[in-house]
This record gives sequence, C-alpha cells and structure tokens, in this order.
Amino acid sequence: MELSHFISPKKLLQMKREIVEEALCQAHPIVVLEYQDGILLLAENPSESLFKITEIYDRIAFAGTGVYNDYEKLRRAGVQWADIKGFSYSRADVRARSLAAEYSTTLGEIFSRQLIPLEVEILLAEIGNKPEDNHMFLIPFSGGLIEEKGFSVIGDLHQDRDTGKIKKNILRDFLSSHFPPSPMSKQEAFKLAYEVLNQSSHNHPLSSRELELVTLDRSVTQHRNFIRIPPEEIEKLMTD
Amino acid sequence: MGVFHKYSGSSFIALLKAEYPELLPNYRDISLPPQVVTSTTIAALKYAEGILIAGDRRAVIEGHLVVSDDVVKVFRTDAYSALAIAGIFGPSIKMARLFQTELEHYEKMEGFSLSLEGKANKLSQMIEENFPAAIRGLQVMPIFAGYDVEKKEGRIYEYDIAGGTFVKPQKEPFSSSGSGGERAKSTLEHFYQKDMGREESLELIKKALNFAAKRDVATSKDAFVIKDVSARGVVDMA
Repeated sequence: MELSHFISPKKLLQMKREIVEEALCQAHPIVVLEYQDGILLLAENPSESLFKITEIYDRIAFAGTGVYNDYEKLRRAGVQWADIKGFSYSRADVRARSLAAEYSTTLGEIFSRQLIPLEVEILLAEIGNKPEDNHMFLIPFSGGLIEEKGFSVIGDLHQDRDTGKIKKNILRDFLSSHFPPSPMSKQEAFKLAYEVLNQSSHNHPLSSRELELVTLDRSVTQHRNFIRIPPEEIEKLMTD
Repeated sequence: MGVFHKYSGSSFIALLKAEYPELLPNYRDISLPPQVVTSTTIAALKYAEGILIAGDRRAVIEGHLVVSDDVVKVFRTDAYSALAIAGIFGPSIKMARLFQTELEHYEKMEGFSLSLEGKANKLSQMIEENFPAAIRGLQVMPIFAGYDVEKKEGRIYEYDIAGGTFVKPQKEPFSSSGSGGERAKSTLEHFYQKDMGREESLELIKKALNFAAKRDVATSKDAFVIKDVSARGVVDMA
C-alpha cells in the first residue's frame, strides 16, 4: 500500500522513536556492573524460565529488554553467529566487539527500513583476562553502538504516572553518583545493582524470586565463564 | 537481514547444512588414499559412581609408522559427557568438534541440555552420515560416555560404522575400539568386577591400554588421556 500523505523522513523517524520508547517504558531495566573478578548483570524478572540475560559464548553475555520475541530473535542470532565463528576459527576469535557491530548494523537497517522497528535495547558484556580488557557494548533500538566502562543500564526509560512524560536515565544518574572509584567485590556489586533496581520498581523491595542474576566470572577455570545464580544464592547475597 | 539467518532452529549441524555447507565434512566422493593418519586404541569402563573413558596418544600411517605420540582422542563434549574416537584421524577430530559444538549450541539456544539419550542419538546420526565415507575406508569409531543427572547413573554407548548404537549392558559395562581394541577388551573382560572404586578402575583401564600397546605397535604405552564422567562433571584423570 502506498502512503497517500507525504510524511517527512524526520517526522517518520520521530514517530518510530516514540513507538519504541513507549514500549520500553513498560519493560524492566537491567543493571550491569564491573566488579573485581568480572561483570555482574541483574534484572527484574518474575519468570524462572524465560530469561533476559543469556549466554552467547565463553566470555560473552547478552542482556535484552523490551518486547520478548524481538530480543529473543536477536539473542538466538547472536548464539548462531558466535558458534559459527568459534567452530570455523577458534574459541579465542569470538569477540563481543564484532558481534556488537553486527547487531548495530542490523538494528539500524531495521529501524530505518521497517515501519515498526524492533522494540528492544540490548547489551553485550565480555570479560577479559584483566579488568582493563572487559568490554560492554550497548546497542539501542535505532542501531547506535556505545561502549560503556564501569557500569551500564538498559531499559532506563520511565513514564511519569501523572504527566505521562517519558523520563530517561534515572537509574544511570543514580549509578554515576553511587559507583565507587575502587573495584567492588561481587557482594558489593550485587548490593549496588539491587539498590539501583529498587529505585525504579513499583513493588520494591524486590524478592530473590523476582530477580535474575548472572555473573561472568574470571575465577572460573572452565572455558565457559557464564554463571546463572539460583534464587537461593541470591537470597544469601541479599542477607549477608 | 544482517545478523539473522534463515534457519532459526536449535541444531548447529542443521544451521551449517542450511547456510554454511562448506564448513561440514564432505568425504563422500573420496576413497582412502594410502597415507592417511589413523588414531588407534580407546576404551571406557563403568565404575560405582560414573564412567572412565580413555585413549592412548599415538597416531600412525599404514598401521605402523608413527606420526605423533602426542595426539588427543578423548574429548569433553559437555558438562556431563565425553567422547573417545578411534579411526581415521581427520574426520574423527572434525566429528568430535562438531558434536561438541552441537551440544553446546543446543544448550544455549534452548536454555537446557539434551538428555543423555538425545546426545547419543545425535551422535548416531552423525556416524550414519559418514557411512558412505566409512565404506571407502574412512571409518570413525567413537565410544560415548555420559552421566544421566536425572537417573543418577553413567552409561557407555558403542557404535558401528553405520551408526548402529549399542548401550553397554549392566553385566559388561565396558567398551573398547581401534587397533588395540580387541586386546584391551580381553583385559577388561578378564579383570572387571562389579562396582569397582575409581582408583581401582583407573588402574584397570591403564592396564587394558598397556596390554594393547604390548602387542599393537600402533598403540602408545603409558601415555594416555583419561577422563572421569560422573555427578562431579567431567574431570581429567591423566
């Protein structure tokens, strides 16, 4: 069907942006923090089997928020990409930066060409042998690519209940004023991430069953460093 | 578009078939050239808590020329399984890597692992696909060992070159294959006892490989790769 009215490209992009931002306001945010031995990712997620934070490869985790089937599609494509790369070259050749660039290109093309873009915000976290070699890449729905250091938040959009206005970066601002200059332990990182999520949740404080916690931990000796922390252990981190 | 593939299922092998056929082994139109490397003796043995799976370190040409005394033919395939492969070296290694990737890929895509039976059946399909090459001399002869976390028991699977699958029975829960396989099997048959401990079983499987090495020049002596597959996961024993 042809559009009967002319819409300027600028207006069109603006409209698409609004559609996605409204959807993202409904989504739960995910907090990502670097700590001494790796990277910690924490999400509010009442489901015990549908995950927002998942394993891409040995040292790479994927976090996605927004519409489930959209970030699930991206996640599955990422696992395919990584396993093909690792199989045809070697495990060491699977790097987050290359995948982040692929995601960025894909999301950018979809955003500009399709009427309804993917309603997601995604992040790739990768641990290195040393803390300096850690990488975190945030890919917004419009296809940019942002490298983060220390911490990141995705899904940080909030609709004001009274005015209906969208406020951005509430959690990010909270984090930048609370993020310590010296490396944190896993415990400290969890406590901070938990505090951040409770800033936005409507039913805080969140219980361990409502949380999804993953670490990429350098101290793991097997090649797969992705660890999903069960609710019992989250409970322990909360009370210790 | 971009990062997406047309194939969106959970099998890595099916993904390669659909989109990257050049990455899959293709030995269909090849008959065995004279100087092709063979890896030799492998064995597996069930004990009280799990399975030991082992192989020697030698690879040979024409049955007696040693190419390397440093090859690995036993592989951890996931958290609770391991694979040993005797037969033609190239296709064996490739099959092990492909199988390893298949299990890991499935686990990541679905969020949970295949059942032990599912893993064993997948391997059977892969061996069956190699059958046209196997009858031209490019045989791949694996032994698969896994621990069933649900049923809390270890199992050994043996295969023929057509993909025929044999679960080793309770009364003779051991297997061996490759050039020294027959001799290793006699040793296991002779000394095997029900519910042996891990240390005792470790001694027995080493003895079986050493007995094979005594008569078979294609099997290396005393240098082995041995893995323990149990509720503890896959642990390197040698």
